[in-house]
Amino acid sequence: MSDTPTIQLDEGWDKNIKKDALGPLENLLEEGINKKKGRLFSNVEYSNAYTTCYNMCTQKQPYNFTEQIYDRSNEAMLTYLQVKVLPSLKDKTGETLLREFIWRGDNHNIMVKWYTKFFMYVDRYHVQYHQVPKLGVCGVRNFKKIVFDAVKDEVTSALLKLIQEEREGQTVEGDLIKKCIQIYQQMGMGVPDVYEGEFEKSFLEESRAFYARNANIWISEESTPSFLVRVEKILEDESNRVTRYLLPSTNPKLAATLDKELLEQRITILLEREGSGCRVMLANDMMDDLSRLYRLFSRVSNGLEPVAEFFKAHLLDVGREKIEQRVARLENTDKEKGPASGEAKEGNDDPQFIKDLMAVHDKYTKMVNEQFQSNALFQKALKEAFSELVNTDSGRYKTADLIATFCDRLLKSGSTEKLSDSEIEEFLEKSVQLFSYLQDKDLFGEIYRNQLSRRLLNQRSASDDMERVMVGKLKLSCGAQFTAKMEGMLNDLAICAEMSSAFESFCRENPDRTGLGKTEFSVQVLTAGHWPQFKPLNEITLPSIMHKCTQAFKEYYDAKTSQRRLQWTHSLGSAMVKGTFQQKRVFDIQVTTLQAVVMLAFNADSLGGVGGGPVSFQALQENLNIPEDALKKALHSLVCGKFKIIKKAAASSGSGESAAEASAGPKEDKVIRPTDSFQFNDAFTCPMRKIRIPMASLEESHNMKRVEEDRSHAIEAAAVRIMKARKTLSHQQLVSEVLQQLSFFRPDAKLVKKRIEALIEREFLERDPDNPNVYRYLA
Amino acid sequence: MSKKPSSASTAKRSTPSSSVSSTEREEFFNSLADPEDPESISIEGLGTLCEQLGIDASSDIRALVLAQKLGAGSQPGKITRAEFLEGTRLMNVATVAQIQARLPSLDPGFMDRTEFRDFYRFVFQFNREGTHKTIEKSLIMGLLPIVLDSNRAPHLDFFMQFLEQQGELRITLDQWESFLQFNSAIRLDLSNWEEGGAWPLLFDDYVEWRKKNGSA
Repeated sequence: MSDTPTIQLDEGWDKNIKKDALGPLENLLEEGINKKKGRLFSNVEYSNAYTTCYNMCTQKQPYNFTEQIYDRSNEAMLTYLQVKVLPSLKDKTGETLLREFIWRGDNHNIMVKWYTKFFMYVDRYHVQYHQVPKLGVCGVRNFKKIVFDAVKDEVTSALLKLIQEEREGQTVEGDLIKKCIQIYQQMGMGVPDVYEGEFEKSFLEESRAFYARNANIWISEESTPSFLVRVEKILEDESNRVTRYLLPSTNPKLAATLDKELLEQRITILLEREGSGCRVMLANDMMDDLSRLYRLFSRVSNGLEPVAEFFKAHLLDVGREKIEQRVARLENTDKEKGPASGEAKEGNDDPQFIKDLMAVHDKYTKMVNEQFQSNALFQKALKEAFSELVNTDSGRYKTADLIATFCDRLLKSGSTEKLSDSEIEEFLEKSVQLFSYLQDKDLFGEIYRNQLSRRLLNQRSASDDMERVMVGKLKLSCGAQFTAKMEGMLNDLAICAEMSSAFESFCRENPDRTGLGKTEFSVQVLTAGHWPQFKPLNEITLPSIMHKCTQAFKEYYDAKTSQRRLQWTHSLGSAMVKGTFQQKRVFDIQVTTLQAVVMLAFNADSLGGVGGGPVSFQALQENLNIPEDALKKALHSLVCGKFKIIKKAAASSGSGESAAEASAGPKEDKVIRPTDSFQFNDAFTCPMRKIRIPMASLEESHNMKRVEEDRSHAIEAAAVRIMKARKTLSHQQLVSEVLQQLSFFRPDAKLVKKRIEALIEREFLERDPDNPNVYRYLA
Repeated sequence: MSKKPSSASTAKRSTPSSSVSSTEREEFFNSLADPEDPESISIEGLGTLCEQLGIDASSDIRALVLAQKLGAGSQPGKITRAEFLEGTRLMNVATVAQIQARLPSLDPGFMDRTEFRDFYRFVFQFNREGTHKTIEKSLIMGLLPIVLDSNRAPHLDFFMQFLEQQGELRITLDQWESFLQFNSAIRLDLSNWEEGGAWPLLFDDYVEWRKKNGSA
């Protein structure tokens, strides 16, 4: 019902609105809000103003004053800001200015809030209809235009000064800064431009300058580790600063600035300093400092590469030192034992060295994982360093040999070191780790297989389980092809154990059929392809009892299987021989088959004859059909070893000197000559009933020639495979692809070329007639 | 084994008077054939022929060219009847005198690159002994100067010196053929030699030898 009187513009504005609402509002604000408790305006006061506005805006034309009210409200606000607010700020500086600024900002928000309340009708309808900004927006813009833009430089300056003071160690009121920053943010009206342009830019520049100046001082005065501690603290402090009173968007920018100023510009100095740089940190195991170094330098692009370089260099130093220690040890041993010694001067057994390498590897793997957080750069550095170290020769024997022998020690029975199963397995695991760096893995494989075969055949393997564990580890590292023969060997023994015991039962139950009587005899049947090639010694003339044994087994075996060819390998067998000395002392002597054959030759019914007269080397060789080298080794073990059951017969030259020689000579003489003669040593005695007489091995530890042959074959096979698939290839491509295919060794390009020429000769390949650099496959 | 051309074809053609008949060529073959192996002419037979022609079989390259033209190829050191008959037919010769007239054309200077390459390869294959696939160094060192000159092979002199200093050595066909290409590809001063190339190892050694004694 509109029978209310029409409100005139000026009257309504001046009286109801300005006098009753806006004026009081201004006054309240000027005095300070806290002074008045509760709401600023009572409901009555508020609704009066609101209603007046409402009425004036809903009156019919020409008394509809919506637009005017809109405009006048803005004017009023602007005036207030201009007349009251701005001057109060202009006469202040520093902290005082900041406080006033904050207060005025808060006030303004309140003002805008009440304006919006009073002029709500305008805000809701007029604004939309006429596409003009809402009162809230106007409010912010007004403040910005009149107040903010005029004082922003001073305010920013004051803010930066406070921050500077805080950086220098003084306590400042962070809240002041925070609230000011909020106003800056508000001034952006949803966009960060104001904050960034009016504050952040200067802030970042000042920060940069501050730290640039100080960093120079700190660096010149402090060691690298200490400087890094400081940097870490700075980064933390500055991050806190941003959290406490700046906007989060500043964090990454500030961090980038600091990283650049404190770290990036100074990488070289920090790392390369003589007294406290990276090298020193590594050499002195300064773990915390290294961790910190990693953390900080990973913030900077290409910061870690130089650190990884230092790490690699250090690792190489440490490793090379171990190698030098080994070389020194070898030289000392040479000096001790002397050149005339018959013992081997340099063996392939150096557990100390292997353990040293393992220790270094462990230590620095741990460092990579802990200090360097398994970063790929450092893993690569570790790998490269160890690849170099492991493939450096440290003496006559290659590292592949040393590692294999180390494993042999672990897996052999009867070692003096008592290690628990888990300790052994740990060592094996570490051995495989070292092995994985080897370039000539095939050489390791060859040696390992030979040692394995000896362990297995001489029953010197401590644990079948452990053998399989090790083979399993190698398989994981290299693939099944690498370990196929090893597994074959282990399986062979498992299988032949069955056959062995079946044969033994057969013998026991049929002593007459076999003709063996009480002689115990067992056979291991090996699959030829799995085992290394042994010197079979199968032409030796066995004493009849042994011959009967082999015959018995052959018949048994042929009956049980079909189309299998047995080849006796007497070089591997062993025997227990009962020796009777002085016609009463009996000993059980454990020897090899070969030794047994020689021993039995001294029996009365053999070459030794009834009187036990001397038997010459020649006679033994001819009658027993044993190769000279093997015979020497067998005799050496029986004549010159710990248990001398055979002695050298006196030389029969008939001169006076010979008697002296005869008594003094043979005892000292450790060399078996083809001119010697031998006799059963009836005088032999020993406290133990059961003895074992070991013999020098007839085989070499490995055959380098074999390894080289295998390599030639591997190269050729790879080349043919590749050419068959590709039909034509340039020389460089062929060489590079061949190298890629060879995983167990790394030949030089010359060897590859040689094998290619061999293939050309055998007409697998030809050269392209028009381009000698290109090969073609010949089907 | 021996191929007699059909008399019918010879009868049908109006043969020019200078064309030799197969009979004449057969007779020619028989006159040179190896008494112990009448189906082929041996090295001695060839030697006799060269004598008759007045050329020195041990140093005149034309002897080798002649051997090739006469058809040798299937086996080293001999020419079979069939090969000879075909070779003489193509050359249209049946007497020593007729070959004599052709002597100038046997100069390898007439050969283009491909022909010379074939000839050069032939020299190696023909000079092998029996089933051997390689030729020993001394024979190689005898052959090279006959077959090559410093035009086709600038490296010849140095290479000969190099071979002289190597121990016992046998040369493969690949190395022999590659030598020719090596000469056309690599400059005498070795300035365009690249390490890691596909040349047979022998040439790597040669280059090293050159560098060691300061000639490159």
